[in-house]
Amino acid sequence: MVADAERVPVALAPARPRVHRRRLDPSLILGGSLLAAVVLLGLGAPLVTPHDPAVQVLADRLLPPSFVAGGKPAYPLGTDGFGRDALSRVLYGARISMAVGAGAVILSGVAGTALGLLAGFKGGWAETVIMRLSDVQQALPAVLLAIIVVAVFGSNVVNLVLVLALSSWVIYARVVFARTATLRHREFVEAALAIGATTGRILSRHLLPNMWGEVMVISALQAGRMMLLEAGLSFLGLGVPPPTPSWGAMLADARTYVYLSPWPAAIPGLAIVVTVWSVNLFGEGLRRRYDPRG
Amino acid sequence: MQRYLIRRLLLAPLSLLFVSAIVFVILNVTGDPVVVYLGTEATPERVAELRAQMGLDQPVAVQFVRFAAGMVRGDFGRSLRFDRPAIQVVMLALGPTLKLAAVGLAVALAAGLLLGVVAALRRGSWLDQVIGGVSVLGLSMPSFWLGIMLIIFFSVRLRWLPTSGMEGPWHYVLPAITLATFLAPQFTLLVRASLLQVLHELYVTTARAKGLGERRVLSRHVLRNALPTIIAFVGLQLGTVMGGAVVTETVFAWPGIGRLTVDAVSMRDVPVVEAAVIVLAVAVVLANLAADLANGLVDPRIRYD
Repeated sequence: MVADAERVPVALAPARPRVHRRRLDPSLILGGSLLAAVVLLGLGAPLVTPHDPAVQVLADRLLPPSFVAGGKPAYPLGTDGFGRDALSRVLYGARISMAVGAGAVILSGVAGTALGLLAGFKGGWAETVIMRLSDVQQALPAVLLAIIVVAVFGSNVVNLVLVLALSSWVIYARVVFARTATLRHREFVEAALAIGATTGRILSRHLLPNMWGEVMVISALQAGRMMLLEAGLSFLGLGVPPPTPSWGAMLADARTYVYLSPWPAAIPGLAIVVTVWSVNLFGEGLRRRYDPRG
Repeated sequence: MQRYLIRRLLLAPLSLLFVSAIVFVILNVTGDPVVVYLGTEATPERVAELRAQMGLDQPVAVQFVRFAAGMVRGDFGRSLRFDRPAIQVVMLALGPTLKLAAVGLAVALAAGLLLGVVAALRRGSWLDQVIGGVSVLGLSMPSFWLGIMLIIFFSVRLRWLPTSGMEGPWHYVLPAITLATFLAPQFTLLVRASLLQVLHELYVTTARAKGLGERRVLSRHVLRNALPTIIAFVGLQLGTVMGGAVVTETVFAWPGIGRLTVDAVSMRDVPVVEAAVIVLAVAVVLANLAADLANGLVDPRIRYD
């Protein structure tokens, strides 16, 4: 009897909010910490770099890293064809890669999500225009668009961010559109409409919170893509102009010396791989968290 | 299906008109191709002559109508650099690009299907983990860097393979590997994901229950049903394939449309840039259409409207 009496209130007690006690995904931890390290090294570049990234010491041209025979301890990762310190240039290059990647992801994420929400919620005219625009965008390969725009308007960080954002908003718009269209006629949206909530409020307070997961996952995976595209455009000579060290431009310079030394080409490439890999790992971890099927 | 097809066929030219308008505005309205091409030291007579030859002395609206009308006929004007019809220059470069893209795509598809199927069937095993890890690593690698590393190792060090050009089958090896490495990870992850969706369908259980061999279940029931997703994805990826080809062609000095476009942009050879972009856009739109059609053939359930 006593036992029964005690059991009842427990059963009637409101359910405790469900706490996510899922084990942290290892790729989230590894990707996240690697990424944090790259960000810190990039931000602290002036403090940690042993040399000025632009200073040329012609006597020390094309040195291999210090851990290889022939390297000098003063240049841990060797020097490039102008005798500039590779480590310093790689660390400063991280800043460009990060800034352009982050800028493009934020811009395209905000624009694409807003347009997707609008198209999915309003339907009709807005849907037709936005979705047709996304079709057009898809018929124009990102690299080509970037080549044309940068070639005409010149290459600087702002143009680069704009072009990359232009090539990436479609994926947000499509996913958010599909998700909004399925949620559009659910009760909580109808209820909000019935009590007279404005469109802006419904979009931002009722619909957007339901797709944060998707948007975050796309953002993480697009960040890696943006960095690779930035490197590719810099490699083609269409990125940030020369005095600024960027990984793609370092690789383009190094092409001239592949017959003399593989190191100037190998090192910036490795920097790209490590950075983009950590971003992608992080994105994969996020995706697994939000998409139990994967 | 017919209505859907007609709608798509009508929309495709509209997409292309938009693309051409964007290209036209960027290249013709915002800069003066003649001055850039001839340099600032050109005589005013020469500038005026070239401007008249290209129709740049006309109002912008007239220029665009002419441009659009020419586009329909495949006439983009004469290449400033080669002094031949721009479309001819582009079509000449299209062949090498298509050959490289076809070989790279075939290698990437073969690798992606094989690895994706293995990963899905052995889900959660160490093999699945390794394939997943390598795929993500492959996605993180800039293809031009891989290309340069391959050149350093196989061409400079070992002297086994040529670094550039397109003279024989050996010239395909490194560019195709580079392009395939760029594409294969995406295919692998997609094949794995779409197989996992199908593997738990009831009809797969039924197929097993009625005693079909695992091989037959896989080919007739699982792969067949995962195919539409894969085909649609490949169709959508053609833009990416072309983008990847641009960079790959630059690394290996491949005489294709990508390298031609990069060169044409830096020389401000506007007619060639316009022709190249439109030709590539047509290719992408056609590929998407073809992927839709292929899906209709593979999966009779798809009726579109």
